[in-house]
Amino acid sequence: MTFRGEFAKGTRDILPILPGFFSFGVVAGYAAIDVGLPPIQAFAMSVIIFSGTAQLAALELLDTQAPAVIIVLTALIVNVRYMMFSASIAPYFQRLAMRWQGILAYFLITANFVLSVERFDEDPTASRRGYYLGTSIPFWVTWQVAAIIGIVFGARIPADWQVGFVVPLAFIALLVPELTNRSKTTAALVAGVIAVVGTGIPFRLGIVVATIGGTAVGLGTEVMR
Amino acid sequence: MGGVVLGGWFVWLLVFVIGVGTFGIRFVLIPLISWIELSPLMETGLGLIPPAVLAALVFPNMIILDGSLAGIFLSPRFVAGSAAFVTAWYTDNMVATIGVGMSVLWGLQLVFV
Repeated sequence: MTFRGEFAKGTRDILPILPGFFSFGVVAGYAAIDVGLPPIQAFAMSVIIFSGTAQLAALELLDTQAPAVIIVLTALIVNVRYMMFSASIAPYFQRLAMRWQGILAYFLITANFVLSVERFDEDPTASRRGYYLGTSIPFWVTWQVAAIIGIVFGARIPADWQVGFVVPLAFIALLVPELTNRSKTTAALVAGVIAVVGTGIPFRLGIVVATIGGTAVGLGTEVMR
Repeated sequence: MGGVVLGGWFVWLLVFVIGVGTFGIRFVLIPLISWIELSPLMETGLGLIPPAVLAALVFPNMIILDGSLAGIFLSPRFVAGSAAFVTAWYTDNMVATIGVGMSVLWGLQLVFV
């Protein structure tokens, strides 16, 4: 199918998941304000990083005065999954100019990755750029509008409403669909327990230790099986 | 918040470094993939990092070790987080998960404070 037809199809397919991510975008926009960033930096973060998980992880660490190296490493570590996505989607984009590969990579998230690979396998003649951008651009626009709403209205939410708890709640919503098998569930449980026990480790290094520990134990259950 | 000047160059630098790094993670394997191949074990390992790091960020927000079991399991945040977890499990819906979690937290606050 043509670029235009595939773009429309991609847009139709991404639509149902947008409300959920809209609320996550509001949370991410609000979180930046909550930590104390001025609106321009909060919005720049949303456009430049374009990853709720990385934005929230960075903000949470910024709030606790973690060292810059830990903030950067944590924000990148939470997105290592993108590397698998890009590895997996690369064969479909191999014939594109590197300039296009770069543009498409900027938009790469879980939802457009999953939908696109499914579509590319279903119809090898489909315009890949069309479909991928059809899923990506509505998502991107939704994310940025949500960020602006979080930034503008978040600033007026009273502190005792505990709106900050929305951040771990959003992480729970991201975490639960990840628990698809025993090794992933083990990795999460072990990492969570280590993180609780390691709360006293300075600069929130406990999170890095917990992630490595959880991953190692989870991989162990996979290898032993 | 103290030491860090929010709004200053430090935060701009952080945003740009994380932005460039995130883009790099998303991009680098696309042109390189014809030369690099991940072993199945590596792929499995990378796939375990998201649930591990998400749990590492969530658990300490729900569970605070204060010496008593009741203090842990009856705290509003633990109950609210657990309700959110159950909601996410059955609905796979972020709006519902956040809605239930915040409602339970606010409800418990009204009752106990």
